[in-house]
Amino acid sequence: MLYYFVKMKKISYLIILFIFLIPNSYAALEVTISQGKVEPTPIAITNFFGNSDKTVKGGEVLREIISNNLTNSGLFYTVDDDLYIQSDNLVDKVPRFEDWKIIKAQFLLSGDIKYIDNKYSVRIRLYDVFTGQEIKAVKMSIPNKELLRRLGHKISDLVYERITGESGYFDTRVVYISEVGPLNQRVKRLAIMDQDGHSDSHQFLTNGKNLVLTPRFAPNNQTITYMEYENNTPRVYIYNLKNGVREIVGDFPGMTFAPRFSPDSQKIVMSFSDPKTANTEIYLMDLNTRTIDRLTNDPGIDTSPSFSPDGKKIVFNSDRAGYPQLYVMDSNGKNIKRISRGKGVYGNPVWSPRGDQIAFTKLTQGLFHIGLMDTNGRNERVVVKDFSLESPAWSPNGRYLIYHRQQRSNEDGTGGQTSIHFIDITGYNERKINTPRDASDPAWSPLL
Amino acid sequence: MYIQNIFNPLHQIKSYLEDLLYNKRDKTFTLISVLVHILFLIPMISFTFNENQITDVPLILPVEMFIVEEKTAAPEFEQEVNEIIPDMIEEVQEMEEEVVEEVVEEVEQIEAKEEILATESIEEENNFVIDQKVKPEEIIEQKPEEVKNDFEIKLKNKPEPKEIVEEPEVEIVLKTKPKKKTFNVSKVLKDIEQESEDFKKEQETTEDKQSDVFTDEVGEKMTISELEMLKQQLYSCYTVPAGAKEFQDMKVQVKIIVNPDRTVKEAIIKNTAKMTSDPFFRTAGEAALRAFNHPNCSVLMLPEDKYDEWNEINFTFDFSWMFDKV
Repeated sequence: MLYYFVKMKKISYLIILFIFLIPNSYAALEVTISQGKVEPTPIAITNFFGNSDKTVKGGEVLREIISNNLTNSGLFYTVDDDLYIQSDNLVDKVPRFEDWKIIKAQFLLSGDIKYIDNKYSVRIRLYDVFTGQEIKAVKMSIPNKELLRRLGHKISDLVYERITGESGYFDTRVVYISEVGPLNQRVKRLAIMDQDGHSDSHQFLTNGKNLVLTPRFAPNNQTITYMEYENNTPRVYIYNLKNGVREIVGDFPGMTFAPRFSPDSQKIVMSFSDPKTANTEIYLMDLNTRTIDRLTNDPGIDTSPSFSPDGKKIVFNSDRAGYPQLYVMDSNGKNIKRISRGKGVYGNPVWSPRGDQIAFTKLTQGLFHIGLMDTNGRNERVVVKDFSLESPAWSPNGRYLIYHRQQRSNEDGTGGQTSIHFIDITGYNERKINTPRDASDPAWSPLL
Repeated sequence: MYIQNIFNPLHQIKSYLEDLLYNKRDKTFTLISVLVHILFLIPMISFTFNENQITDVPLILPVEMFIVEEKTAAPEFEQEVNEIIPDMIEEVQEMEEEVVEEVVEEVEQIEAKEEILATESIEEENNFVIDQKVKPEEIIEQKPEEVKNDFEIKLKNKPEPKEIVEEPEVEIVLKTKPKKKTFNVSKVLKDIEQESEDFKKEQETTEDKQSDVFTDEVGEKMTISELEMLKQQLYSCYTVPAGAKEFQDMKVQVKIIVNPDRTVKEAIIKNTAKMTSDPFFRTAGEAALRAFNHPNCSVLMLPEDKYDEWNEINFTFDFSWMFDKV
């Protein structure tokens, strides 16, 4: 009996062995793809067909705005329309995807514009050419053609968001300081423009009578704060762009620097010097109660504060260690930690809207650098360097940095031109934003 | 007792084994019987193991994101725009009323201080013209409901039947790909070295033996070089998602079913839940799927004689390599 049992046991072992071996013979092939082409995504944008003379022109404007926006992002390039095989309106029909595959367009944007019932109506369809699927279909309308540019930016944002997965930044504005005149008689005015710097969008917000500095947008509304020197007295203003109302937040003694909003736009953090001690510290002002709290208390100069997007931390610049370095503290001023470790003079720290990085300027080896680091100071890397780079600011989606660049000046006061640039945080795709005059100190608005 | 034994399965097995072991039955017949049973048993066992995989299949839904977009995108955005534009109009109208006076005063002040702005007086005037022009004008009210009704065009984008795509490059490469399983160096040596026939024969026999060993080791599996060729082809078809930034720890798994003619029959993304919930994952997933629809990858570089190996392939798209360089 035992003998049979042993025999049966052997047979059962064999069966178990089969059980483990057989599934392996059916395992699918496993392949890991760990490379790919890193290049701008080709997108074809058809004409935006109009049903009248003015809509035809409007369609051309829209197409140009969208094409420029996507190309300037550095993530797309518009396939040359001379290559298009299918050239008719594709809003009401399924495209011949093979025709678009041949010209290597990965995406196809098609649209038309009509003027009906005293309004412009635009329809768009976005296709994934390779999969042959429609991935976005939207209709929008505007009451007059003056809003055509905004509509173009909106469509650009839709396309960008749908393809990249991250929020767009095209329907935004940039506030900056417009500068004219020789260096010793510089007239500086507050100005605003669309993010693309289109000439039609430029607008001056102050008259140049007083010196203005450091405009900063509120993170969640169309309000800016900036410094204005009236009769040599520094004042912090809040300018509501919705209603055009300007409000003085307060007169502050001594030198005042860089007011910046908290994430909820209810507070302003800034630095100014106490006339008694002549020491610059960081202060937090509640805009509702107008109460001011001092956050730092150190013999060193503490300045350039910037909130983290969750409002829990503040990064700032201090020379308490003997030369300017970057520090992070809790929003109540406690738990101060130095985060910058490299050689050089650090300044202008700005927390990313995504919360994961801090942009800063750094002067070392006779050159200014704009760089990024993790919020704990690690992984510091340079994005761009030049003779003079200042005022880095983030795009609302945290993908781009905007800053100003200054040329060398001559002894007679000429030269020293300033211009605004933006760059992808990877360090690629640096582009100059055209402004009617010299421009400096840019700040990016949230999405409109 | 006898009746009990008849219905006792253990007794049945015991008696069967006794028959088998004590030659009471024909051994040949028994052997055939056992083999036949095993032959039935194997597929049955394998089916039960594959059952898990099969039950997984319905969970892996084909990705047709456009359906979601059609439902969500258009109406939401229309509403959004209708909210935004009047809002902007209001703000600008108010600005026009309140700010223009202020601007005019500022212009006067500037003119009074013309000596400061002497170098640019003409340009300054132009700027103010721009300033005033930019103030938006009156706006006509929108009627979003009507617009919505206008646009009930539902292009159910069932893709047109795919025509045969020209694949000249792929074909050329495949033709050049060595199809022999064995690696026979001796023929090359024949042409180049022109040695004596004896030497050639000796060389051939040696190489043939080596190639036999090589073939035995590789068997029917895909070789490393074949896999590498497939990878290289996919690299050329796979464009990393534009603006890839949140993909550092992301891995997209795509299962493809391949036709015997090496065209992709079906490509489906696992983790379908993330495709709808995570926009970054959706972007990464779509980019991966696009690779298999790329004209250069519609026919995959696979060895024709190993269809059983590649009729189903699981691809993992790993993005971590991108972030070492940033």
